[in-house]
Amino acid sequence: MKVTLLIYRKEMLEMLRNYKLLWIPVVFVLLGVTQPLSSYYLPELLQMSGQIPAELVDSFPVPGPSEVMIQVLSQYSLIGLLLIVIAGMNLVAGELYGGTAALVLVRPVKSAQFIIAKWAGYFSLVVISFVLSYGSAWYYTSLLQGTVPWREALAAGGLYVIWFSFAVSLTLLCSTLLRGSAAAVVSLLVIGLLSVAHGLVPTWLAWSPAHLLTVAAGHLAEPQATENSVVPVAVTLLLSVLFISASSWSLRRQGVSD
Amino acid sequence: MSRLSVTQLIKKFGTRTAVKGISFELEEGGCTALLGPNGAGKTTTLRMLAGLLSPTSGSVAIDGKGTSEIASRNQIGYLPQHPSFYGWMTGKEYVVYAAGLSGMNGKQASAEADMILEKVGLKDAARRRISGYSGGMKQRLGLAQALVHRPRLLLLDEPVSALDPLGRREVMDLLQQLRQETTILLSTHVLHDAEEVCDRIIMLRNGEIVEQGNISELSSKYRQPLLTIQVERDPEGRALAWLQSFRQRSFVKELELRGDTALLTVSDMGTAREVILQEAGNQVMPLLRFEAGATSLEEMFMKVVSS
Repeated sequence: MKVTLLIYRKEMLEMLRNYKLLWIPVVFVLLGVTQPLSSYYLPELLQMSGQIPAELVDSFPVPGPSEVMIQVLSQYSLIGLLLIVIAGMNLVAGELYGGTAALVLVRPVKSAQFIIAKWAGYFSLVVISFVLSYGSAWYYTSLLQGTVPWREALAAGGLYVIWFSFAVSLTLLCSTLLRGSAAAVVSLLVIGLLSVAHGLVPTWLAWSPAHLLTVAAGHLAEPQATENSVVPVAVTLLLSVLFISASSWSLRRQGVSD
Repeated sequence: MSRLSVTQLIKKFGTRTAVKGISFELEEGGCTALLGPNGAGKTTTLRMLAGLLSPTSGSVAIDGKGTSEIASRNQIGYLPQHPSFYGWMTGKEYVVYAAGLSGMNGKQASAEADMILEKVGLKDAARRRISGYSGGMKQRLGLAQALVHRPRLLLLDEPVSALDPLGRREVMDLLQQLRQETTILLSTHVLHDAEEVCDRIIMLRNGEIVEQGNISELSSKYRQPLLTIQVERDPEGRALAWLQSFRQRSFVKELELRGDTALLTVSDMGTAREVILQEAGNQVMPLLRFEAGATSLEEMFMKVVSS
């Protein structure tokens, strides 16, 4: 536990010193606030361009607060995910092939301690970024579009955090097994295939992590008729634990280069 | 009870066998060199000893416990050939981190780090980022992190190969001091380095131990009388023909011709000297140099390595 905390502290300090703790939250916040701002100012922007008749602009549907929040969430599932996977692809691979892991693993450090600290460090970064971003999106949406039901918004956000833990664990596993860029490609491919498959046959994959995103959107779209999400949540958490154990199992079997 | 015992260690990479079943034991104290040309399996062996690479078969034990066990890891200090550190850390931060990973608490780690950094001569650079360190400084930082938890066995992979003469000197002096306190196993492909700090060598070739023992014992074992004869070149080639003719003498075990110099490994120095000098006098050979000596460990090493 002591060693895990020590490595976790080192992870956080590293992200602070290489400014990851700054730029990833900033990008996330920008990602979150663009949606409410752009939908609010869209009619004015169109009017200013002056080529669209006023009647047409007026007939533009004004999106409600829950619609905007759903759009915000869909941004996270695309660009946010891309950012998380790419910024995390060298999480373990970087240390394993760069040689810094050798000097850590030659000491009395268990593979699991190393991997869990790495996971916790990166997941903290993702949660910090997401909370800041989602919070500001929520703030601007309530300001510009109208009140967002807080209970539903919180539930949707929570489901996204769980889904992010799946993405982080998968990236971690790929980064342990493969070299950096290959890890990113494989992680994105797996998540991409999963969401495409879920889009094609949603009923078959209602247990999968991809379904969490649908449930989250459902919380905001129809607060009265929310789906029970126990199964996909349990499956997602289970898969995350499985990925983390698999990467700590395979860490030393890779042969640690120096 | 020996400190480190290695039994029938084998490592295969695919179809290639890098280490072919080596066994040796190290007693407490002193310095041992793993000596061999590039590709002999030195690094692979050290990495298996450090527990970073799992052997295909065989075992490594310290005081009877395997080195892959967490508890016995703290007894080992390891310095890889090209150590890499977190460039964003300062030297002090890195050593404190390393000490912490070995189980020291904050205060103790900081005190030990200060002490060890002073010992390796990095006291003034301790607060600078590692990314700005020179090669020699990184090597010394590598030694500091290997020593900070006071290991009983120090594994060093080519500790001086990548350094310039000055840095090499510094590290060698440091090793001279350290061998008083800990057991050292270092790998090198330079016999001279091994002779300087170590008292024992284990020679590796193609993943096998070809010779091992105390340096003094080995050098007396391989010491053979050696005559060096250099002649002036004459147009008729009479002198060179004379040198060639030694090949047939009974007292000559081996003849090596290098231009106008002949190196004779002889069985009996007395007769050889008498016969050759007499002949040189009788036939008026243009002798330039006549030297009686003994083969060194270096020649043995070259022979062992190249055969």
